[in-house]
Amino acid sequence: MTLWSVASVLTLAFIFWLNAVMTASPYIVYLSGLKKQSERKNSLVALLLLLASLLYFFLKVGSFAAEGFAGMIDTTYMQFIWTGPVGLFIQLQVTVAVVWIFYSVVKVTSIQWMLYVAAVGLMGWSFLSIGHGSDAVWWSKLALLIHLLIAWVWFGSLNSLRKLATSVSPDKSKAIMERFGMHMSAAVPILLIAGVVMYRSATGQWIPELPLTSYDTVLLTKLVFVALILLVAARHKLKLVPQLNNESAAKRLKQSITVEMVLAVTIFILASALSSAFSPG
Amino acid sequence: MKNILKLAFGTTLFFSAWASAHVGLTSSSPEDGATLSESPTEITMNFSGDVRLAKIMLHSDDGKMHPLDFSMSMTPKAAYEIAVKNNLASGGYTVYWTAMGGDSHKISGDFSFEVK
Repeated sequence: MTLWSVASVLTLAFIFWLNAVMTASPYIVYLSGLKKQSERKNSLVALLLLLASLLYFFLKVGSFAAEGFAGMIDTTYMQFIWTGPVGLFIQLQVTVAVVWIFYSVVKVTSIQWMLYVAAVGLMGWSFLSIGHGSDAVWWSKLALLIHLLIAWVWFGSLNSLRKLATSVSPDKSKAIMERFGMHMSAAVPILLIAGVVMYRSATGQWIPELPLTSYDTVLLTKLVFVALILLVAARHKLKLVPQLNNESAAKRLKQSITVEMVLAVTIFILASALSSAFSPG
Repeated sequence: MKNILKLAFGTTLFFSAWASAHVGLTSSSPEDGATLSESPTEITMNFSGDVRLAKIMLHSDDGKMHPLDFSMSMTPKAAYEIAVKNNLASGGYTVYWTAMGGDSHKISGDFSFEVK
């Protein structure tokens, strides 16, 4: 992998994360009963998405031009990238950012929901346009969408849950964490099944066969981190949340959610590498 | 926490070492390693799937670049024919190419031939 690829993968992982934060935003409001995130925070997320999308575009241009930093603004390669799948991805992500700005300022609930659904739909479409999803069969695209949506809601909720662990009373925090745990217990098996279906579609096999390809190795590494994050989540559900009745227990939970976030970021980076730098077969 | 960060960072570094691509060049004319009795008039490239050819360069062994009649491909296709603008003198030549696969991945490669 070149430095261009590494920078592209990290930028794509950041876009993944921002999309996750956006997708989880109303879920956290529903879960906690607190007010919608402020206009300022939502606008900041939209601005970061805009900047990350543009950075991703110029990194891709630079990667193809292969003429150093000057290649990032080569107009011929800019046109080449803009008219391809990456261009479509950027256009959709920029549209998501604009829709999100409207979402953050609109006060009418029904319009807010329409904007939210539009934004999530555009995010899903954008990730279907790049990577192996772009030429996959319909059921694999559906599996990818389900996989993305669950991962976005889960990982996108973590930062808010981390703050909620200590910012509200232990009783309220416990109730929020229990509801989250209950929802994720139902959703995570679906996420895992969707992941297996995607792998089957991409490689034609259910489990990796020897000799392992680089794609298989990255995927298996991602699975190791998935196993780790599931262990951390299980520890929350079975140990830390039931013990949540004082401040020190809340701090322990907050610290453990921070670990979960680090694992989630690593999974996003590996997922970005799988969709933009490694190919099956 | 520090160990988790180390593990995450180490994993990222580990995978920066290599990457692979799905679609690739299946055949070319001249073939890789071919010896030709006269200068080729065109270079043809066949890929295992549709790609958008971004760049193709012809270099002689002395490092000199030789012009090709190539314009960047905005629509994907599996076969390309690129005219060689000038007659090539005797010597070794290498074709360097870069393309974008259907999955938006960058793929690149090279092949060499000799003109007697």
